[in-house]
Amino acid sequence: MPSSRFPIPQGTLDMLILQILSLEPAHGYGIAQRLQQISRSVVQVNQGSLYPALHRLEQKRWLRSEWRPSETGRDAKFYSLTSSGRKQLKVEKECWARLTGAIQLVFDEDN
Amino acid sequence: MKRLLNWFRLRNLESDLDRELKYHIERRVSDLMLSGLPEPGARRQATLELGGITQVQEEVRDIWLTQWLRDFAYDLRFSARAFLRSPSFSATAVLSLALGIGATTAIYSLIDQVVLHALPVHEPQRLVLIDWKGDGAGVNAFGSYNLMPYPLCRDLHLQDQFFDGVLCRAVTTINLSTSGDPRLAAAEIVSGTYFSVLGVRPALGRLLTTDDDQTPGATPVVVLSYDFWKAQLAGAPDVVGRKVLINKHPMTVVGVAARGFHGIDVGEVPSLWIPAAMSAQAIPGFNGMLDHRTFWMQVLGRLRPDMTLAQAQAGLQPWFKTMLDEDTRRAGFPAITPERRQRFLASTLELTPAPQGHSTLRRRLSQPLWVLFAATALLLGLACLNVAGLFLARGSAREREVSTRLALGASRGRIGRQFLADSILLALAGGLLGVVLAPLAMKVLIAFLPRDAAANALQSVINTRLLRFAFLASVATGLLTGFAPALQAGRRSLISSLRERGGTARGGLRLRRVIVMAQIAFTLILVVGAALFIRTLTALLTKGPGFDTSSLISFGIDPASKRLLVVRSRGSFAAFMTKSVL
Repeated sequence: MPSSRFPIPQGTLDMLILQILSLEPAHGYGIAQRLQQISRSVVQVNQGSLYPALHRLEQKRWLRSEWRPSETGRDAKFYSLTSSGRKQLKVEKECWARLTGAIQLVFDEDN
Repeated sequence: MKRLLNWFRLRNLESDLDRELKYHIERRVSDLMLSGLPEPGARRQATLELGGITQVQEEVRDIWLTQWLRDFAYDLRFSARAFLRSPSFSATAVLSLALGIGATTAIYSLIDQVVLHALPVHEPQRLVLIDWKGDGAGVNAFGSYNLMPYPLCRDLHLQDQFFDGVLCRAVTTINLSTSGDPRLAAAEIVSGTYFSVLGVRPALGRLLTTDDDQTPGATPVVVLSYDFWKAQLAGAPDVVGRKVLINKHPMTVVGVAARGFHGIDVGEVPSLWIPAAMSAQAIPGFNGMLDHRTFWMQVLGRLRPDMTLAQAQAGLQPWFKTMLDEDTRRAGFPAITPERRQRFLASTLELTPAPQGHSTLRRRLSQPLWVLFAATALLLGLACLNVAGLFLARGSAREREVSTRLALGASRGRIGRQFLADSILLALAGGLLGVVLAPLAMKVLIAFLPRDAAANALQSVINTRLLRFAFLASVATGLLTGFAPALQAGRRSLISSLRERGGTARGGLRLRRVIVMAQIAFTLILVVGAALFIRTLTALLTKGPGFDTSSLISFGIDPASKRLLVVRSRGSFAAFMTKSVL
């Protein structure tokens, strides 16, 4: 494992999935690829935890899923955001902003 | 609710997940191959990246289930605490449910033993009872129902385009002595095909074969039942080869049948099996074994796997017709009126499915048992209604608690589930108590049945099948009881109920009216039924048998006494009796 890549912080995977799906519906493999692209391979997502996360989010009714043809023509399970998922994403983004802001403040104190 | 559904649709979800993961792997493999990896390597890497397909499946499955179960366990804990705080309410509810579930379980146990339980043999569903329909022109008949002559059984066994084999059997009571005093024992007189057709294995030695059933009187052998061997002979390992006396005829024990095999009649559990060839010895004074007009055995066949019941029944008739014709020309065919002869020649063979074997007890008891079962189910329904009513009343008392929870953001579904957990917990407690009570009820019920038939055949024990029934009954009861209160939960608007400050309980008034009405209706049915039953019973008791029974005695002769009486004539017997009694 190259040291420039680090595992994704606990709890942020859900948020990233919601963010990616807020742009457009996607299937599991698509989400995995996009995560890779967007984070420029810095963030390393264990693909094994992707599907449990998807099912967990669906269980919480933040996502819904349907089978439909993918870009290769074969049927794939596409996930999309529900309205409560959209709300959740907004909440999490705010939380994240406040958290990182607060942490930044703590760091700034140092200088 | 969705999670509850998930639980039942787990299979569906599984295949869905399977497809989803397969899609992922396929895509990854083709991408990796585009970048120059050979297929096996690509496949290995794709799987590796996922961290193993089984692991992912396990994890997703956990998510489906644990969430739901965890919530439910929490609900149960909460319910238990609430019940401990109001013990009188809980005791009333548990007790009424226990009575309902206990009674239903007890009756179900008897139904299971008498009606539903398939024989512990190889593929019992292929067994059929073969019966003579019409006038058999029998000159001799003894036994109970569905009787046939022995030669017919032998002939049927040869019809191998329909049957894999045919057996016949008759029950009798013999005078058995193993070492000491003689005693009465139930025995089954069987054809040599009996064990092989049923597919029963020996626990020791060998079982009866067709060789043991060729020449009358030539093969004095018996097979013991497992229970008899264990109980009366202390499971002696050297029992094979021992001699026993059957009606004073010495016979050799050749084996012990498999454990758990009690013959094919739940009402008549035999201690041993005797080949039909020895029927003259097993039934004193009987010599009708090879007679075509002596009806004394029940015949069961094992259908060939490719044969349906209807095909076999239709296919057998031409052969049976020919046989009837032959019979009329046979020596010893009774002189009968032309009319009766017509009826005889019009006889057919009737096949009925017999996976539970043949049983006179079942014939006599199955209908009353089902009626009784319906009555207890009604009783259980009544208990459900009672408890549901109690719940609704309690629900109004809990209105404020519910309103507070709603105000704190609990969903109505969540509160409804809490109510369901309440009732299921109560029902399970009731079911537990019911199972403890059930054996008692069974004993009473069995004591009510005619002694001869039921005494040794039916048991008042709880087995796993019964436990499963009680558990299902409890859960169903819980769901039924909790359904109405759960629906009622959080129906009312939040604001008004909070404002009311513990106010009057209006919620579910109409529902409660419906419940009370149903209760009255159910109770009425039961009371009327019970009253009718009691009237019939008292009428029967006061009426008596229809003749004067004062100073009459009934008696049986105990062969265990060594001074066995040899009766020479009716006169000497009467003289002996007069001397003994007076």
